[in-house]
Amino acid sequence: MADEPSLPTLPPPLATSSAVMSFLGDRRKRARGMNTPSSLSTSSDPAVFSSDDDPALDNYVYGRRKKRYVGTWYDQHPASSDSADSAMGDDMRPPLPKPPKRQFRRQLDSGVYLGLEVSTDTDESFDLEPRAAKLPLSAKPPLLQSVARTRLSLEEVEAQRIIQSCVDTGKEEVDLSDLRLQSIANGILEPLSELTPIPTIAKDVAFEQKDPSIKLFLGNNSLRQFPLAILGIEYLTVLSLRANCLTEIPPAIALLKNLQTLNVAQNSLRFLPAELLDLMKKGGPLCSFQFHPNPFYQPQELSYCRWGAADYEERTFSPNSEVEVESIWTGITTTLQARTPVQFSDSARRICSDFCFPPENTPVREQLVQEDFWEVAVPKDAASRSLTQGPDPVMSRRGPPSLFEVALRAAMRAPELDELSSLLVDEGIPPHLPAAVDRAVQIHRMGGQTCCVCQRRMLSPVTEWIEFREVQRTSVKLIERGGTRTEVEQSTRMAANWVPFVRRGCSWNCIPYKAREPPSSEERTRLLVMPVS
Amino acid sequence: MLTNGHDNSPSKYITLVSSDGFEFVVLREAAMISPTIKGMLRGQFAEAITGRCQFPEVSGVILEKVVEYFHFWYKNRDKEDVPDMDIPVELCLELLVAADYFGLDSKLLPTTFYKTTQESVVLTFSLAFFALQNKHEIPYSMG
Repeated sequence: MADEPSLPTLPPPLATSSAVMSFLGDRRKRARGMNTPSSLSTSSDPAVFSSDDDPALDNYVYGRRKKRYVGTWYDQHPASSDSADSAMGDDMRPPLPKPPKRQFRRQLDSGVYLGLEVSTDTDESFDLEPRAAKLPLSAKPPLLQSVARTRLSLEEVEAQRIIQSCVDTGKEEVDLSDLRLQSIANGILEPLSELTPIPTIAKDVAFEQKDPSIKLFLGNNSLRQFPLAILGIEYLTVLSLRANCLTEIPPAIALLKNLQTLNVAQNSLRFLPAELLDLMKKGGPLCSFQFHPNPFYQPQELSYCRWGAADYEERTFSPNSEVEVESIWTGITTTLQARTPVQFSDSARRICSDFCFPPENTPVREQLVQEDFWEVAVPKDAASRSLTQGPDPVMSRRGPPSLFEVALRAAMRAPELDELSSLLVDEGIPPHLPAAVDRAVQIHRMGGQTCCVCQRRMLSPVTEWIEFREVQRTSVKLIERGGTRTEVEQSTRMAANWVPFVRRGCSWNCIPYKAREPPSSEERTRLLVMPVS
Repeated sequence: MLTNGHDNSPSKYITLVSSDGFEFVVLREAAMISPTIKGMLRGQFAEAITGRCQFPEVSGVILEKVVEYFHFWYKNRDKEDVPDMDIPVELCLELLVAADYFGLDSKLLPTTFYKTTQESVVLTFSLAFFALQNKHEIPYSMG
């Protein structure tokens, strides 16, 4: 006993009974000392042993199977009398517990998946994700019942037919205009991301599989929401959303790296996402862009000093790599003209600054005040290092997100996203929380948003400001003369009005950089932008 | 509990007590990112003297997650690309209310500390918590 490691105490009814000890001791093939009955249980595989319950000769006449036991010996119950134990008599053993009878009923998680009869690739209500646990707050039935979209509208069926024929024939122009579409399910547009043109097969032409260039026309419909499935079409080159009822273009539009033509005219847009600027830079893909008319925000004053604008662009945002222009490039660029003050809010969207954007559903064209580039108005109670010294993209990228943000991200995994905010509607719960959750759901549905300063993903933007930019069509020519290359740049203004682009930040650190000192009066007059004629 | 032995500086740790009596001992520095707790520990309140904060509105399950966040923040405060803290979906809404209550807001990042008067805010959200917990029986069992 001393040289063997001691084992935990055995379960009481069997292990301690001397009957079992002797039962095992006699069964052993190799004697390793009668005092170490536990050596069987030290093996990692469950021990298998057999027992000859009754070795009487009669039992072997017709052939007899030995009983096999798997597992530790002390989990086994000595089954019946055998010769070794017969001396002790059956009455000495504890009675065997009866195994519970298996009930004949359905196992809920059988692992068998029964497919639906209808095809599921057009039905967006079919949710592949497993339903997560119900939220504990849903004690009462939610106020808003999300309408399950089981059937496509007639217009959508028509759109689906057109798309299917385009995919089948490899046609790259997908014309869905004038269909009176109110919305378009993601499942309908998804086949387009796999559309491949049929390569031309002709004599003396090398067979070549080229990348598709898909053109999608959704003009003259009544879309209220930007169809998100569009963002998944990698080779989309032309996108027309002319004459719809869109109020916002999702920031994730920057994912469409091959987009050459974009038409968002005649919508209800008040601003464009600043992420669109990724496509509108020198060497960028976009070469045609229609955006008027739209009820865009307008600047209040048109004569304006641009002192510090370059500093602001350079120091606020992490450096944006410009694509090298090879020889000739024509496309859309923008020039920063002015910006508004920053709207500061907390995660729950309570506004803390003097400046705030007008409410969303005002029909008139709103005019916004501007702020000089050498000033940043901050809320009174915010006394922070970076608010006075300007943002530091490296510093603000550090550290974990706030608990509010972390909890919001967790909430986005919930299955009942539509009902999420209604679960928070309750007396005593601050009324701004449901609004914040709604906003987060909206951002989540639009494909997420990153902070413009530190590039972190966020669901609760807390700073927001608008840049007014002039949109130009620019052509760049590279002229080589005597070994030196000079760029000749020529820009023509595309519209009389400045176009607002919204910037959003994830913390109160992520705000515009402030030029160190105001300009002198001569510089002020030199840099003054005169009213646009 | 009050002081750490020889000098009179306050203890490195504070104790947070939940409504159901669970106590969490937290690094003072980590808990100070919450303006609510910071406000409680300032001045000559009982909490500031004993280093023990009672939260009669917060259940143990939620306070545990909040405490976990404090240390998660403290550990990662200087790191980039921090992985998300794991939060079960069924706790997210209560944690949202808790984040609001403890002032763990996005506007506030590690490098910034704000001086705000939190007392009125605390009062509002105490009521919020009370309503939330009385309305729904939350099926938690701890310990």
